[in-house]
Amino acid sequence: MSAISTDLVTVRGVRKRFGAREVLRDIDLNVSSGSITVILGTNGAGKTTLLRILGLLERADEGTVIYDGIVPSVSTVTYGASTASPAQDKRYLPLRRQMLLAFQHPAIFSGSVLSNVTYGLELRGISRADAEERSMAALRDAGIAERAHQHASSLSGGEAARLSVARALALQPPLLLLDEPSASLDPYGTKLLEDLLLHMRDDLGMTAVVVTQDIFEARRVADQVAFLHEGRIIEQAPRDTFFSHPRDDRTRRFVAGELLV
Amino acid sequence: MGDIGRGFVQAVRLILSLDPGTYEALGTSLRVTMSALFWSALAGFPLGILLAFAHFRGKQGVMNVVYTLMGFPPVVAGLLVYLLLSRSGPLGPLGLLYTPTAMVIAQIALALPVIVGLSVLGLRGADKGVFDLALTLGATRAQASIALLREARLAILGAVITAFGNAISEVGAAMLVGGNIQGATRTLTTALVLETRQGSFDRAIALGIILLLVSFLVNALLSRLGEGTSEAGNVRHLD
Repeated sequence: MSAISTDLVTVRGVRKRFGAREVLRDIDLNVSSGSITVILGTNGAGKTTLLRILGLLERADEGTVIYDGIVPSVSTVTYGASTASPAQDKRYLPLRRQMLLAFQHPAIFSGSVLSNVTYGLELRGISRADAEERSMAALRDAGIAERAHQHASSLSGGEAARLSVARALALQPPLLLLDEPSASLDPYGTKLLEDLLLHMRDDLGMTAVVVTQDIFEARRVADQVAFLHEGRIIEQAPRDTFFSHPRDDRTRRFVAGELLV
Repeated sequence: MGDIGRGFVQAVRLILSLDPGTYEALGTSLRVTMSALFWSALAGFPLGILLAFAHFRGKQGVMNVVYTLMGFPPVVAGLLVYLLLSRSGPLGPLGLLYTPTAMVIAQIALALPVIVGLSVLGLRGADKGVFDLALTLGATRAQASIALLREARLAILGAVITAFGNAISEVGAAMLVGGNIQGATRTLTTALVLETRQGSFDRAIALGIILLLVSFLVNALLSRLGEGTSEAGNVRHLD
């Protein structure tokens, strides 16, 4: 990572509530281009909601998210009371097609494993033959090529996670959003995933935001670490600074494995 | 027993002799049922998606109405459409009473709640994650809805088959708003009632057999279409 980097995504003042519950209180976050930003947080801290807002699957109640230099036509999404869900707004479709969110519990289409990967490519107008070729290569890299022609519902949890990674490898979106990517993976699968993540950053120039509660995963892959606690990013810093010199006492205790009450 | 046996033999003869009256009634039945089914599906599936996944006030109330209408007595639906279309009714000037269009309207009133109700149940059963998955993979909302419908295709197929079965075999509403006019609004079911009343059991039985046969063929065709959709999902080698 170069010393001077531009921010691909900038989040300012994002708030989100579900009924009476305030999930995100006032989120500021910078995601620098070509980097891996890990958002750490405990269960229920709002990590998934934040990721879904970044992925334009969910609307925020307030705030602004700037996507800089991904597509020329749209860069700023400003949320207010009257803003519809960005997933419903055709204007954001080109932007949505430059990002991919991999869910914690990977959803699958009924159909073959291969067709689960080609779907996104064919939506982008890529021919069936090219889509299949790229998808097979992605499945090989993700280590489940031998399952390509089987029914996707026959995959185990870990294999479904690999399918999720294969979709990312096939689409190569400039912005990749991963929700607890190693939650259902064994140590070998986790290693493979993390290697692929570094490959996507280093060789494909992709930017990733990874949400996890695993401090060790953050240490292994993060360029930047942000700590999400009670709906706020209370600290964001380069990895080494984050772990060696946490500014906030709550960060220090979380990193040390103490309970936050 | 004698009547039934004789009727059966003559029924087969009637079917084979391509009796014009019988086949006219068959044509009317199919036309009315298929167009009612078409319009009900066109409106019903989007409504089903909306009711399955949108959140709004009074949704449970709407669903209760839909579920109630699924068991709507056909003859009552027929009566309502009759009152709407009769000469002194609000839509009287259109002159639709005793036309196939009137029958289609009555059948839509019966089929639409079935399609909406059963598709809501089927879609709720399908994996909701698939909708978000399609969106994040770059689908528009319409494309994501299609992906979701594909996941729920068996339930969707069940809705279509049920609605078809109801519509083709329905007699009360067809009689009331169609009037059983020969060559115009006489269907297999209304003709069957007429022939039975007149004591022409052979013709009545022939109509019954044709009705069953058509039901069987259409259901077989629909099931085949349902299987076909998974082929379209380019699954080639299933273990």
